[in-house]
Amino acid sequence: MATAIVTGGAGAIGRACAAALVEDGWRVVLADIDGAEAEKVASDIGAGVVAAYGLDVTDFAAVHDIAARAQARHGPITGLVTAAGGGRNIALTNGPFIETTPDEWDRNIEVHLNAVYNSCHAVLPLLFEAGKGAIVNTASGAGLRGGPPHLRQRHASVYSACKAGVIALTQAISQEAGPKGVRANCIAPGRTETRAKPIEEMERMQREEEALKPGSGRASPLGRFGRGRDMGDAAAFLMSDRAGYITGACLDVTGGIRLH
Amino acid sequence: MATALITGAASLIGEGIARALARDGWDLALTDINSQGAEEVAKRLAANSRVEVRELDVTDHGRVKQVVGETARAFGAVDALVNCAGGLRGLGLTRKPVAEMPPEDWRRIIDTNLKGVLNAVHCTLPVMKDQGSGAIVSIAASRGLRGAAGAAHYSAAKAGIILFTQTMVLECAGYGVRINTIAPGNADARWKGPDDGATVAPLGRPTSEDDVGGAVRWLLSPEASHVTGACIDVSGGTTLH
Repeated sequence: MATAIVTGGAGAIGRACAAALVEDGWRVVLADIDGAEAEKVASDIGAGVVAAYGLDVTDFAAVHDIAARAQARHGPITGLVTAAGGGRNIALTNGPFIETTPDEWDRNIEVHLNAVYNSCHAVLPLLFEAGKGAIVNTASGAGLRGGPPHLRQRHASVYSACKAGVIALTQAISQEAGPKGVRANCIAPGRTETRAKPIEEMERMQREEEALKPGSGRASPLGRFGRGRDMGDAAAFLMSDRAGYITGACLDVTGGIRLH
Repeated sequence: MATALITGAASLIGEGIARALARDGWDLALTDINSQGAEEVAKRLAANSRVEVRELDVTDHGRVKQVVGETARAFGAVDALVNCAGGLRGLGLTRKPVAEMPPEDWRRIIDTNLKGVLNAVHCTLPVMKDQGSGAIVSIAASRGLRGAAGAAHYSAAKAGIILFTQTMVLECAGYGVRINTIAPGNADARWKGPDDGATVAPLGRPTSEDDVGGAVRWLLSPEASHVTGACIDVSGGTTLH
């Protein structure tokens, strides 16, 4: 039985990734900065989630500790999905780049780029030990194509930089890990629901934006926002054997808003 | 004459950029963590234009702000910023796969190559905004267009620079500023020995400092006045996409 670690497992995307992996027969170790919420998600999903941990992915040592514990209790670990991120826990303010502070970039970079390295660094040796495995990192449409920042997008420039970094990091891993039977890919969500901001809230904001500036509130060419489930399905596909010849890819799950 | 501030000016690519800009008559503020090396570059330039050298560690936001302020006062303006500070082996690090890469290596590369650019843009852009004009060019890398084995940190940082630049287009445009990147391939460098640079581009040679200098010079020229958010691939065909 294959076991995967999902970081950010209590968020809308992480939760959906965990649920989709469980449906595909994976056993899932959930980790999230909000340990209590991770426990709740674990009980919602049911038996396939074998453990739930509180974990701050920016803490290099803690990430390695959780990986080692997961390996000891639920191993062999053969999968990793990184879905930790979002502005929720890093208190970013709105505004143009020149009005931001280095402290804010640091928090942004810690969570959205350095933490992905932490997780991959901790889990890759386990996958190599197993001689097989897959990684899916959550990048973003913002990392595929930088663009005029959305009205409400916070710290768009540094966020785009981080997510482009995640894609490049994943490409590098695909080259290094391929010969050891390990694949590494990204998903790139577009405007997607979060735990703090469900679809209904996004639609309400969209109507506000449309009223302010017609055309600006468009969700996507598909006419709707991304659901966690859309991301979960994409991640589960890339984690599955059906994607056995796919590595180094970044799957665009933006509903067509970020052509590249 | 217009003034360009160059970071990492003591490097071979930095020297190529300085040489190309001096040829166009730019006044130059050369900065580097190795100020002695930047002094030597200044001597070799034999430029007709004004050249000043300042020591600068781009990871030190306070020092970047100070140097940009000094430059603006000394020259009367900062018309161009060229971000050339960075590198991998030039920083004394070696290539390693992610699984064997210590966190110190990862951080050093991200801090120097990515945050260094953020620091320089953050400190220079307000000056350009006050001027109502300016142009920024950052040296990314072909490895930022394609993540490379053994260089995940470097690839991530350089990819970050490219996307940061794209996303800054709108904000910069509001200040009358253009912002672009250049992606050199496997380039000549001072630290390279005879056995280095084995990666041969389709055009049959490594990227030279003059290749990069020429691209910077064009991006800063009036000919490129409608170019912003671009990444010019100067890798000799290494990075097809």
